[in-house]
Amino acid sequence: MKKSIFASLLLSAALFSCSEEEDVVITQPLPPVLDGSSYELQVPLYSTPDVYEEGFNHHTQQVEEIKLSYNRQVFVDLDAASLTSNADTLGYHYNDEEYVKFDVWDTDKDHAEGSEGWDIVLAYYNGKAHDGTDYVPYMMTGGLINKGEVKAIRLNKEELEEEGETFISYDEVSYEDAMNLTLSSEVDAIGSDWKALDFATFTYKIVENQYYIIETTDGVFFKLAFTGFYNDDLEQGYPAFKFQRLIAE
Amino acid sequence: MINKITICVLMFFCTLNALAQVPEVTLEVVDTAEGLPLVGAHVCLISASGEKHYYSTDEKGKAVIAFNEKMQCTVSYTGFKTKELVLEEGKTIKVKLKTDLLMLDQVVKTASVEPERVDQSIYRIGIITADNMEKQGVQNIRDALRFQPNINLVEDGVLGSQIIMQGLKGQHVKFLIDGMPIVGRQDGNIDLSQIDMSQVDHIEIIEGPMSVVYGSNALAGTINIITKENKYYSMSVDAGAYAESIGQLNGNVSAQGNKGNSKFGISGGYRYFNGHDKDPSDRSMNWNPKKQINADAYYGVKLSGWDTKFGIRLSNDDLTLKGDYLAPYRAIDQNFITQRMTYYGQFDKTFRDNSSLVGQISYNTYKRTGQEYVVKEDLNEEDKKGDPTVDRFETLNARLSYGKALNAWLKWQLGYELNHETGEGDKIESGTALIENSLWSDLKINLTEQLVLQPGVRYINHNTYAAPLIYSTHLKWNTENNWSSRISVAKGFRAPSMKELYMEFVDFNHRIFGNENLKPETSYSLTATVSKAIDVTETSALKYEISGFYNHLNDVIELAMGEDGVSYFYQNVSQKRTHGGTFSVNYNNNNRLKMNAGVTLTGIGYDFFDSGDFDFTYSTDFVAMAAYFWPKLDLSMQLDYKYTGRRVQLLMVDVEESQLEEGTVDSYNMLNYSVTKNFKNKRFALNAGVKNILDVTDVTNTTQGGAHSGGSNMLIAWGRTYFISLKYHLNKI
Repeated sequence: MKKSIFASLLLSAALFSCSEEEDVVITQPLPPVLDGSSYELQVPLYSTPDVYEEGFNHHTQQVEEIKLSYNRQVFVDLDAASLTSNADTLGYHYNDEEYVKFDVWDTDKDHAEGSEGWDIVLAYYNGKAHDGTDYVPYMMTGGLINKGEVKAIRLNKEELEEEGETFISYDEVSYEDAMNLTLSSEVDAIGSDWKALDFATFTYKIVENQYYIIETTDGVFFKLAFTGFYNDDLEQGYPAFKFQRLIAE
Repeated sequence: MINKITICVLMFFCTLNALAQVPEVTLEVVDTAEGLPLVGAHVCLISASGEKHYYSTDEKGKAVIAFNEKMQCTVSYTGFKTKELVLEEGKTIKVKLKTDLLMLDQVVKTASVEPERVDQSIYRIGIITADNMEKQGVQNIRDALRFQPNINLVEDGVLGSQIIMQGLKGQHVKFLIDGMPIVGRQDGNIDLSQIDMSQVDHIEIIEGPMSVVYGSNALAGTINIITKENKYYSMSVDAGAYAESIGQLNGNVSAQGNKGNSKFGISGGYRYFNGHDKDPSDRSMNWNPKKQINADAYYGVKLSGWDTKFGIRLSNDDLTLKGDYLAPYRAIDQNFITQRMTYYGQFDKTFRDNSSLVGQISYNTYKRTGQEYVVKEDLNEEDKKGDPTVDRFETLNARLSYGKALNAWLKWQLGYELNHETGEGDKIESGTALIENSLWSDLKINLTEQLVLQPGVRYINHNTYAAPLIYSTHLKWNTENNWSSRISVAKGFRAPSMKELYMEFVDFNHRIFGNENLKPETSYSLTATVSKAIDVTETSALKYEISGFYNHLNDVIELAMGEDGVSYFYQNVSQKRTHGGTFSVNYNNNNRLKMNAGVTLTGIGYDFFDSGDFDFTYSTDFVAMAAYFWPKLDLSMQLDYKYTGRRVQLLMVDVEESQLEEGTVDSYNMLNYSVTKNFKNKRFALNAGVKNILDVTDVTNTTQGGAHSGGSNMLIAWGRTYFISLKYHLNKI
């Protein structure tokens, strides 16, 4: 409650300052922005033109040219989110030179230049799937972190409680809680299992009671939870997520 | 011109005939116990030439019959023993009917060219009467079969209700309507909730193999749904309305008439279900909304002893699977429309030498269309998403059977059956057809008055598979002191169905793929029954029955999980054995108090690793029923109970390491209660009750292995509901 009051105070202050003359804002040296607002973002992993790639068609049981459902990757700089703007995003189409065919098995293809200071990339990539005994390569759609720069961890209520640990919900997690966690530097620390295919309807559902703690390139802690995978017309491939900076009390 | 003269002359004679004093016979039909008149008793006259004429008794229990010659006459009434007499000229004849306490005198039609009495049939035939279904508030065949001791039902949110009999699934149970097969199996099963019951006269259930007479599928049992046909009245009209607290509303009307040599009927029904959900926090539902329409019509004519009937039966089932929200106010719904259409024709003819010929032909189409919709609740919009998926099957079935009594102790039946099935779907090439031509014959030999033997063979020619010769032997033994026993032994054969070979079923809970390399199943079956009927008093009777079964199946076609843990493929899995038995007791006191109870033990065993060892798992079921009838009030009450025991299922976890795991489905109890009251001389019937009093919805199920293993809940029923039904019935003599 306190936080939200503080946030709204900050917000109103910011709004007020926006209405001021621009040069006033620039000339006044701002203290480091401890912006605890919550942000929402939805990014498209598809855009025209269509792209075809050779692959296995489960329908015809043959290897053939298949239209890629996800032909775009989006780099996100969470730190850029401020009182006045959302996180920075930069998208590349499959046909763009900068497009990287991410492969977490291949150390040459598990990272990208992307935009300056990006934290996570949402992409279609060759990831690690567990087949019951081993990890096997599997094409998936999800989030990768900026290798060597960013750390992250997935917090899942069911898993944690199974291991006898307490799960602190997204709404209640604090900076101190995040500091106590050991974050992972694995490039697929975010991965794709924030959504699950519901075989009853063949639609993707967001895994409930699960979120991520991310330490960004700027050394800032964020909490991030996925909220959707569909756009307004229910076309899949539009990951939506909310995130918020964790601030020391 | 000549024609006109002929007609005039004929009409003249007809008038003369009518004017002439035709001798009449009055039959007065009463019950033995209290001498009360039986209203609406059926009288059938059979002339020397084999022609049949039908009459019905009026409100005083009387039927006036024009008498032309000495005739054979049968008088029957539901719940009473049929009486046969020879009608001679003159006077009033008082016919006293005895109550048929154990339902042994009911006429059954399954597997016999000529209808015969239950106790005369070589098969053990169980009957569910319309009267009983009315009392239970039965709306579809699922409701009707729910309290059978030897039948289990499994519910599936998408595929509907499925049957298990003798430990074998739906593909080993034959479903017939008036002797003609029902088509349209999804995943090997017929959705039992799609078959309307308002036009059903009774259901005949034969447990055990009937592969010689009915071929494929008729292994664990045969269920023959016999529709109503008005033979006795110039017109009969029925209308009914049904409401169940879950959100189910049904209505149906029908009219059937007779005029001269013609008979006709028309009926229609509409069933609406609003859907039901245990967990209203999400948008998806456990029981999805459904709308069903059915209509049928027939016309029949009798020409020089050839009794023919032609008809058409239509049904449309509209099911919507509601999806969860994928974005605010946005969800994807799946809609499935199942359309069935049956055109049929049938005839029967009894010749002067007492032989008879029965022919049936039916052409069925089945179409299931699936379509996804993007629902925008805030904008009140629904847009189609993607192309529809269509499954289509067409089946032509023709049966011709001839029966002749060669002498006093030998009866011969010969039959021919054609089954032509074509399908259409993603993986099926056009023109693909499964054609089965069969020729069968059996011989009913009355070895002694008490012992009847019936060997039979069926020769099958299948266009894709080499079929073995099918054979069976049935034995029936009766003693004068009411012991009775029946034994059936048969070899069976089942060719893979269109679905098992080619279909893809990807949009649902199940990703099911056909397999073109399947082998047919072969089987051996044995079913044996012993029963003893005891007349406790003049008006009460008790019957004990014990039955046992044994089935051995080779190359069982089952769904096996693919390596990905989510797909299923049809495969010839292994050998399977089932065995078990039922013990039941029936008591009837003057049709006032009826009680019965039965316990069934079923063992299912698989030889997964071809080692010759069958790992059997057992389950026990129990049923009980009590009903009471007050004749003065014309009021009856009925209580039905079924305990479905815990099921253990073995799951193959690892083929290479021969690893098996046990999964279980928990036990549950089902209890229904209903009251029926007839008004205005049975013109109105009001029926109300509670279904599923114990409020069972789901049970714990750990048989769903694979990637997402662990316990889940299995849908059983939609919980406690209250229902009320009103029926109107009018007969015009």
